[in-house]
Amino acid sequence: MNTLFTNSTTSIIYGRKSISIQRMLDFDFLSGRSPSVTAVVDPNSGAPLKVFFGKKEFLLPVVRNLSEAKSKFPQADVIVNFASSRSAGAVVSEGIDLGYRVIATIAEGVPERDTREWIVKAKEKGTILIGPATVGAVTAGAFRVGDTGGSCDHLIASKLHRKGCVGYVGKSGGMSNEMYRMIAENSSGIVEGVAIGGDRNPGSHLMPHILRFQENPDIAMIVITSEIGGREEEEIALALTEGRISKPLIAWVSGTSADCFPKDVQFGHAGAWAASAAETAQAKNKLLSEAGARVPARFEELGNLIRKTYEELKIAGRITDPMEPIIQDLPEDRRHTHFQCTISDDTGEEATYGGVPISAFIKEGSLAKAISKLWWKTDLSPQTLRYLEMILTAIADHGPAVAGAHNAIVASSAAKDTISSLCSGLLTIGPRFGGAVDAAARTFYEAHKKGTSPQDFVDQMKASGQRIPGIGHKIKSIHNPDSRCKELLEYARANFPSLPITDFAKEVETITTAKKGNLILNVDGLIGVTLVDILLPQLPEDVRESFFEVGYLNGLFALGRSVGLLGHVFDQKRLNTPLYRHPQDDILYEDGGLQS
Amino acid sequence: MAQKPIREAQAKQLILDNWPSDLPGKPEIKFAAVCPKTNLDSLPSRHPWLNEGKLVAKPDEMFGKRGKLGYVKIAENYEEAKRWIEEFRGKEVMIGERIGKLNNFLIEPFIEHQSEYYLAFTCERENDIIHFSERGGIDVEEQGDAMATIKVPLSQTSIIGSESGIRNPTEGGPRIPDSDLSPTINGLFALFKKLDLPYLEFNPITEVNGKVYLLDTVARVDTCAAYRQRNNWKGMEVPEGFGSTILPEEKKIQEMDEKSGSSLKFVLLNPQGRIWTMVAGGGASIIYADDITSLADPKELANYGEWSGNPTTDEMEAYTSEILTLIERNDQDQVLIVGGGIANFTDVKKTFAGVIKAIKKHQSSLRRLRIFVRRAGPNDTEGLRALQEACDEMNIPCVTHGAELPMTDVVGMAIDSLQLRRIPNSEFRIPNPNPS
Repeated sequence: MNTLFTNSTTSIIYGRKSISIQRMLDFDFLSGRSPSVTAVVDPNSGAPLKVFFGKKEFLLPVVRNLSEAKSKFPQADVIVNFASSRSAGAVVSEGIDLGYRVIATIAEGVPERDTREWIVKAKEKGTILIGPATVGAVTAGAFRVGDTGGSCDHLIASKLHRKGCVGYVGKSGGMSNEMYRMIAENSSGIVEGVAIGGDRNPGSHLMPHILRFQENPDIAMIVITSEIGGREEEEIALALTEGRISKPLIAWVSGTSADCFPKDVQFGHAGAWAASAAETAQAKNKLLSEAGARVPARFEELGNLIRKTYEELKIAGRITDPMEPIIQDLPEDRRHTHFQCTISDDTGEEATYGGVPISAFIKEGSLAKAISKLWWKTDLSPQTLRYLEMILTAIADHGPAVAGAHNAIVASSAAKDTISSLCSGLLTIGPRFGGAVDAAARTFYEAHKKGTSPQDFVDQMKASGQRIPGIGHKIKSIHNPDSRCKELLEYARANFPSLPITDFAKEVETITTAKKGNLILNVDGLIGVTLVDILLPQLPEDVRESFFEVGYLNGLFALGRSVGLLGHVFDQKRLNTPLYRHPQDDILYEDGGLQS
Repeated sequence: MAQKPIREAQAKQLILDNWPSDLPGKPEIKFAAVCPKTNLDSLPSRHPWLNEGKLVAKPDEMFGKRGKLGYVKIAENYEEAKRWIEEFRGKEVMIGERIGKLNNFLIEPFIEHQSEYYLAFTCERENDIIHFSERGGIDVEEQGDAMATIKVPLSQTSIIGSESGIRNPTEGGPRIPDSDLSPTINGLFALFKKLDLPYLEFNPITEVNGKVYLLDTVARVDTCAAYRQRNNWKGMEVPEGFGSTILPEEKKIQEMDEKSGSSLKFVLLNPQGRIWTMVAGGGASIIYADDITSLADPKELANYGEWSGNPTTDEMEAYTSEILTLIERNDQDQVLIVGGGIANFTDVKKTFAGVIKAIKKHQSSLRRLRIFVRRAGPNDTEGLRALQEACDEMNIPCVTHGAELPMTDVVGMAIDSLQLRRIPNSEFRIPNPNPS
């Protein structure tokens, strides 16, 4: 490749830098290419990021770590690393190991030894490093790293949206944008620009970029800006002398003022200090000039020198002024939406569930099928759909005495409307009533995943003073089994070959019921563990990751039990039950102590 | 931040504190550090060895060639060393082109020795370098062929173990002959790596009766690594270079810089200078300094400053305020150059809002100031307009330019407004035939 990037290069952004990412996408849009950002890595949150491509808003995937990014988006071969100076090193190191082609690191203040270690490692693997302490690089009309080139008005003025004829490389990230403008105003603009960063040991030096410019037939002339400190200009001078760099090279090394200061001044760039006379700006400008580079007397004359060189090349017939492409306008009034929805859509002719028209679901007539699409964004196996329907049926009701039904009845008898009465019942669902399904599923799942034995698990829970969620029933016991559990378990065993979490929970039940007969795996627990076994393998990854946090299984209980709660509400309304008042003789009014 | 020199006493303390207990070759380190607060009379009570024979005393101010300059005293006893220190203590001296005060001294036992060696560890891009010579005590430049320079790959932690002495394991070439010094060289090399010291030099280092002495030590630390060296550096305060007494305004900005995710740098060069700068960007700030010092007498440049990385409005207000405080104290006609290139991501409107707030706060005492602005970047039109309008309202002469003006052209304007130009303007600018 003659350039760092092409218009099909795609990247991973490390860090949730929404403005920088938007700038990259705006550049893509202006350059007439497809989005160059495939995903974001954010160790703290997997929530997708809302961004615009042109006028259209879309959700950019966010993953939690780099290896996940690599496996999900293998085509992206560039990392734009926005990690802090303290964590940037780990990102670079992992990025090299994962085989990324280019890694650009923005952070300033990375310890020198760390950068040197990256350099050695990157060399072994052939990784191209840019930075640290830089804004990045840009290939005109193809790909921009992060904020390189600034806001849209400036990047158009600097002609970064289309190819020119100049290769630029410099140390300073901030100055690179100024240079792109200067080059665009005095020639046809850049083909590629790189800011290697102001550190003492940048990940890549000026030289490899200059040599790439030399190889690229689109590049007619090279511009470099360097600074006081370091001695790599000697290598450039040698390459000029030996003819390895034959294209016109315009150079300027800044820092001539360093000698004028009455005391030690550390310039804003960590690498900008001269360890010896050979590292001063004066010495390096002289060296480059003597080797054949075009070096102005002052920085202020750099623009003229670029213009002069460009005009010479044009007269010699080596280059022609490029055609200016038509730029698509970026809408100015883009506003991020406040809501997002990924499960259904009512904007078309016919509403859809997960992209499938509602009519298809109606024809099928399966509630479980609609649930699987709207809750888990997927299609489940017919056996699973049937199992879900069985569960909903099994949990629909359990008589008027249980807490939820009781509350719905009390509310209904107070003449509350249907929905309020239903809610009164639903609001009772919690850790002690129907709401232990997720907790049970998660507890057994995690214990099994850790490889804890059933006995150790029971001992650990006891030692920490916790009840095991999903174990125990008020009435049912090993001698008086719960028929709902029996039916569900029989079906599950018959239709699903492997139920490891369920097996584990049943072994736990053997231990707990040996102590006390009613410490059975109750219906909450059984539904929880069987669904983890059956559902989890069938779910898409983003759904699976947050399975326990979201609370799907308690939701399933609430859905099923709503059937029964509504039944009780309707029943009471038909019977026109009077207001319920609890009998006073059923209440202990004292503080419970014996009175003498 | 970057590499910074530390005092000899600090370097020796680092070696003492961090030498691994299981590693042989620990050098003999015994010293008493004298700082401005030290009571010389009670010093021997803390370091009884000061009363036990000949001593060496020298200033510890991070300048070299102390022997040549006559700043190393061999004293017969503590009384003599003390008198010598008292003679120089607090005195202003000129070393090279720097003027500074001698505030810190180092006293060590005098070591009678025969041989002197040169040993240094430095960093190259892909290797660590060991420099060794049997001709210690003389300058590096004079070493010539006597100096062995050994490249050690970064992955290499130990450099010892072969019978042939210390050498690069993958290359032939020079080597350090095996001697009683080898374990010490190995240990010092390990500390050089572990402690994030990009430079560590001993000249000379010597060996007497199987014990190794570091007669002179020079070290630099990588301040970027301070966050992970907290335990090893044990709260060591990295000093300012010789002759760089730090002012309260500089200190305040330094503290702001340390707390901020952005960069805020300020060095006062001459409080009586008439050209003040507030330039955005590490690269641009160098170019502005170059231009000012080439067009005007460098003495007129009052400060070097740099701000970047999209600081907040509050940070910019505080930063500008500190600089305006210094401008107020100078009763000459002055200019302030608010310069910078075309920003990639720093918001011009937001950062200039801070500049405006600070100017408003100081407006009554800025009667002799003219402001010259050149800056571009996100929201530049609004930012520049706001600054221009604010200055117009306050009757502070101000010109604002964006990307349409070449970056450093405001320097010439500012210098001409004070008639400080010292070379005729020979510049010839080719007019732009198709301005964009």
